[in-house]
Amino acid sequence: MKELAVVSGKGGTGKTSVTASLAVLSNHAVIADCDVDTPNMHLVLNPDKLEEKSFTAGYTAETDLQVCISCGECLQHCRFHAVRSNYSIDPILCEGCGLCAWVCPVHAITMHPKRCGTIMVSETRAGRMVHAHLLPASENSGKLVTDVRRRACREAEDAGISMVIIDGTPGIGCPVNATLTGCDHVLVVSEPTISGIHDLVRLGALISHFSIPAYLCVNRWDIHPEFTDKLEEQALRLSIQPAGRIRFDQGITQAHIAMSTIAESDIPAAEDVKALYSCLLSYGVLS
Amino acid sequence: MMKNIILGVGSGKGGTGKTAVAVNLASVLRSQIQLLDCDVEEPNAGLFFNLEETSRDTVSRQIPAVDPDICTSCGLCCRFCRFGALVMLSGSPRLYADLCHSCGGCTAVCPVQAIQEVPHEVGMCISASAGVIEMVTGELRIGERSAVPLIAEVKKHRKTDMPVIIDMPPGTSCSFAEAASGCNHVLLVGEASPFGLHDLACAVDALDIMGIEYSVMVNRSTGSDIIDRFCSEKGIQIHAHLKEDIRISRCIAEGKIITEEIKEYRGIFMHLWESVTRSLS
Repeated sequence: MKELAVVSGKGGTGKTSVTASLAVLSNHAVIADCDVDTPNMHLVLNPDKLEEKSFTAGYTAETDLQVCISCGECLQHCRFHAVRSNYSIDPILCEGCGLCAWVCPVHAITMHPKRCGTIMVSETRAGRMVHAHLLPASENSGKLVTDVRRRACREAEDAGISMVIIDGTPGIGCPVNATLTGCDHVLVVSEPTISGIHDLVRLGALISHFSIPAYLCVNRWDIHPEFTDKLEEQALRLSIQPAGRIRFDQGITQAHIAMSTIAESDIPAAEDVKALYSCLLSYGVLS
Repeated sequence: MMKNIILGVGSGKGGTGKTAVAVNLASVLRSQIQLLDCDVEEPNAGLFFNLEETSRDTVSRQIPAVDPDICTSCGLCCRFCRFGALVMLSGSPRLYADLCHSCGGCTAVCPVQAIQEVPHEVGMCISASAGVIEMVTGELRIGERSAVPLIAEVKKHRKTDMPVIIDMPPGTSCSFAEAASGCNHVLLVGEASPFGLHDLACAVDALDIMGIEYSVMVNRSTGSDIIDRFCSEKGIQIHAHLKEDIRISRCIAEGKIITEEIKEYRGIFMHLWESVTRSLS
């Protein structure tokens, strides 16, 4: 099983547009949408849902105010400011550590498993897709990413498919760590801006932590050709191999409005994603 | 002008122009203002200014350290920890710092006081100024997973005698919630695309749950009115539209302030600030 993770550091560089195109071109991979708090892959791949189940992770505290004697022990011990002045619990702030329940002398607080989102398996024209939705303002995005990846690998194994393509999240935090852990290859989609270059350096440091072979795609490269050169030079210094450039093309938004990927549309940028796909094939990143 | 306003600038989707809007709002007023970069995983607002750094502090959270000479291997700390951060391995508790939420529970439950808390670096908090703009930036340590403690620390630096603008992280999970909490209002930068609309709706759901007020400005509004239709259905106020403009793209690419490079945008951002602050009072 080979897993390719598509990440970016900076948000909005075109990860999902590129991932969806690679999935359509490959037509022989299971797709894992690991951008679990703001998933977008379903907007272009129009999935038929086969299965949906709720995702539970961690706990949340609840005070029985009938039993509570207002001693204030919970309020004093909680480090997350989750205990309100009437000793009820704010479910958004509560991290589910259980210390309040432990210190409560009258056992007025109980811990409940926390529903954090939904995980789904669907069929799409580009193949099987595992996707999810984290409830708004929820925690445990990293755990949900891990679950989505695990399920995608199982779907691939069952179908005799050897490739999983993962659409990741922006940033370098919890869900990105969960996306990169144990991956075989990583494709970084960046853009030729001062922010793109800055964020590539931080993401590159994280990738080298994991020692995963990495490749770069510069999106909207012609917005700033000099910065594109700089970005690719910077990538090489970080041992990230440039693998393609995609031009700025207003047709991409129109393609997405029509629920189509770049690769399937008759727009100039389609050539660029096809070239990227061929390059990744030649590097053995995709199969 | 409202002196004690705390305005978050968020979006749900990444790359819709949050940072560009935050830095241009901070610049256009030409009066004392504080800008907090709470996108600590990839902080970029500082790239737009010539900053003079005034302080740089390491930010830590507390993690447990078990004294093996005192520990009786009772295993209570490991049974207590619901995050799986403490696990009994060959008779003694072993810490996985990445999983620890720094709740202090293990220390509290240890019957022989064998656990002390020690600092674990999560990142840097950098204070700097550029003329009338005071800036505080959080920079997450590479490899650190949770941005939440660092965002909380950056927000502790907020001033009460000038308006505060918060550049929020993308997404709608716990980092977004931490950055949003305590804001008087969140200005959501919506991108007129299917992805932009979907993620804007996610951000709206998160702010509704948190009970925080919000309104919208539309970026890259050329060619589609999907954000306008969504907002009109939901009764959400829209303050401004920014059209796709190659000059803006180049300004942002080069880390320049739009309102200083392209004069016509001064008025647009002034109007945006006035419209947002008016909707607050």
